[in-house]
Amino acid sequence: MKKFSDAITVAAFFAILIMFAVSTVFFQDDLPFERLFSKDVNVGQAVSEYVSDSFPMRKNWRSIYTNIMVFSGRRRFGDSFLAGDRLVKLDKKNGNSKVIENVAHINELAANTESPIYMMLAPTAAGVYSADVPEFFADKTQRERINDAYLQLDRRIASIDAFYPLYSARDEYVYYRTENLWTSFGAYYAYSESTKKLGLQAVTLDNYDQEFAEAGFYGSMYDSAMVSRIVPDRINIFRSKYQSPVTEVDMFDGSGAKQAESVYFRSALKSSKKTDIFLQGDKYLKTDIYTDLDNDSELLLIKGSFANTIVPFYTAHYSRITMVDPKKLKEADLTLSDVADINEYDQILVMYDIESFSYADCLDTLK
Amino acid sequence: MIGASFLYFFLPIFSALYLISPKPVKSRLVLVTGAGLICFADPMGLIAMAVCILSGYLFGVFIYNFRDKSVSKLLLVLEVMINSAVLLLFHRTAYDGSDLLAVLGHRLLLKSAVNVGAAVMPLHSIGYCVDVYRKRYRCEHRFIKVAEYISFFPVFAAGPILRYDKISPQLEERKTDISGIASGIRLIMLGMFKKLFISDTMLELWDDVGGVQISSLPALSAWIGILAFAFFVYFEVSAFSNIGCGIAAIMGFKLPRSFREPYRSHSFSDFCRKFNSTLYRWCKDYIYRSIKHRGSHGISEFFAILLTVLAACMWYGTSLRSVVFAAAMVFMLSIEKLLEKPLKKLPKIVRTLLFVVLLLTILPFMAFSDILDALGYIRAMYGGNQIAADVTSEYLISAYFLFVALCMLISGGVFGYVFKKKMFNNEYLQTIIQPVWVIALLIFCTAFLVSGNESLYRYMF
Repeated sequence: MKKFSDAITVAAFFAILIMFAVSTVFFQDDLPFERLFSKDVNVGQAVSEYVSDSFPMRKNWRSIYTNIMVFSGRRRFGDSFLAGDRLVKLDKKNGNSKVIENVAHINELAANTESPIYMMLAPTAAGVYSADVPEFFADKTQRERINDAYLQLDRRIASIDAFYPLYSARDEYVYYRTENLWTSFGAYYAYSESTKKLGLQAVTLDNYDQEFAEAGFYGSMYDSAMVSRIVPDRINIFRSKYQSPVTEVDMFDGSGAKQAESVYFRSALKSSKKTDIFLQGDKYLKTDIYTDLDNDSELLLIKGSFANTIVPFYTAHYSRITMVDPKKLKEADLTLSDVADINEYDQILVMYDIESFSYADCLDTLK
Repeated sequence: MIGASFLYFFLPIFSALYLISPKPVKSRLVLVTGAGLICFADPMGLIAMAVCILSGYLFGVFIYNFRDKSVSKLLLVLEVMINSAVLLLFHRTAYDGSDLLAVLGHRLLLKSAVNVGAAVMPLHSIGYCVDVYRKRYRCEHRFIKVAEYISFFPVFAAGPILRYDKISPQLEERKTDISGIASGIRLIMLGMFKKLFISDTMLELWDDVGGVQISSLPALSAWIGILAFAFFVYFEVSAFSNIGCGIAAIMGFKLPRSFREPYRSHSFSDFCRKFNSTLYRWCKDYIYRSIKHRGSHGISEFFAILLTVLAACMWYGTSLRSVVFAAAMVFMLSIEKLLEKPLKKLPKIVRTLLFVVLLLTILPFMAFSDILDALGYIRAMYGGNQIAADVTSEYLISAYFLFVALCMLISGGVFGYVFKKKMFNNEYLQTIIQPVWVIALLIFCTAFLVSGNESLYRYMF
């Protein structure tokens, strides 16, 4: 009887191993085998990564893993943390913060222009829902980090407080549950606050029709923590009840330009990064948005990822908005002056989330 | 030796090749696989392999040929020096990523923190030559057999450390049968479970506690943290040891057990015997007995203990922390020796509790590279920060309670007790339970291998 049991154990064990091994090599065609040789790492590491990335039923394995972990009481999955019914991306700890350098770059930018310059450092969900995240996961609260950065700004630069409006609205749907971005609601609260400093009259929400572009999407954080109890996210877009002022959107990457007529790109809903519905996310180096407003007011927006969602609200106030992504400038080995003349604009707004701003190594391109 | 590529590719391919190979080819296959694994991890490791094998074989033959002459002692010293150099230069721990050169402030010899068997091969080589010198057995003239013993790849990661006289008959006569393979599979799965589910989690818990400034660390969090570190070290080493024994069992070898519930020890000397016992026996035979003269006590014995404990601690990583921890261990062993009689009068449970508390107290010396940090941590453990517990402690308990409880149950020998008492002695039940248990663990481990946070896979070895 013991031998029979052993035989079953051996047969079943190796049958499962061979089945998955064969499936990994021959039936997972989305990862080319050449990848093994194209990596700049040692063969052992490349093979491990290849097998792990092309393993069959990855999502199911991940789901089993996270549910076992959640059942056993765990709430941290790498840099994602299960805070109540949402995932938040934890702040980097003991990282090499570049806040001082980056603020110096912004100050230098302000010194080179006569245009009024504004800065908005937005909190991420980890900052707004910090009460649900154990303290030791962060060196300092985001509120403190934002204030520290603002204190070092040149007096010519007006700081915009996005923390308080978002914190006050934390019970509403202001951040995605599975993506490290704010929702249109979150962006709207920050927009409303910013209009006070920018000298604009905020358009109230009753002037918009709310549209559910996507009702059940899971963002990138969900890939690392597939906790079954998390309700999928929805992407809302706000369309003006009256005709949209946007007439043309010109997008430039390193190689060429593309044109569109809207700030919303529905094609992104078919891709894996659905939040790219807002101005194609961080795909382009520079984006010019033209509107039919005849006030000749122009805004230059130096942007991080959080800016994409808020820009549709600003289209109600400017005849032209130019968005420039310093990260893409760095990749293309360009500087700000190569793509835009800063003195042409009536206002300059630098908008980042505090976490990206703290570790961005691309703001030296703002010359 | 852990990862989906190991489990799903290396293991079935190697097992199939090994089992279908004719007897004379098996030794060569083991040798080539060992070299391949080292090359796969870091080709520099092949130098260590070549030096250990060649020095072991050649010095073994020379020492035997000059066995009654004084030159044999000189040859043995040379052999020990060469292999010690290999151990210090090539063995490094990924826990703090140091090898001897790094400690001396130079570039690391190996590119990545990977296991190239440098923790085991020099010990095999030295052990073999010392035994030949002591005339415990004759030298082996078949190069392949010596080479296979010295570079027996299943034990590369964390032992067990093998003795030539014990493994030699098995190298001659490999008995591969279905029950051996099944027991090997069970050991591999147990090892993987320990590594992926327990050891990695304990390391994460330790990292969480490490995120709090020591000066504001509450006592409860400090105790939870050091307990996690203790479990991490134990389960990490024993997991790799289990996996090694499992691969060897598939190949038809029965290797000695290295861990016998060390946290149930009732004294530090008992702990040394139970924690990585094969390493303990190696150190005792080849270091302690070489230094301590027969019948001598006092200074000679103290130095013998000091060097033995230092060598054993350095085996876990060439760094200052190992030296400081070794000193703390020797201090505890000395106190224990002085108080031997009164301690023996205490009930066993009290002695075990006392031992655990004292071990956890000195463990920060192993956990921190800075002695001041270690002292600050010990201060926090005993309430020096004037905080008993805070929300951090609450979070640690709620997030890790199940894991810590499981660790305690396993380390406390509850599962061993269940098996010893044969509580599931029904043959029919066992026939069903065994394959189901193995497949369940396979699914469980696969989920962790495919989905786990790879940055956590910091190997101790």
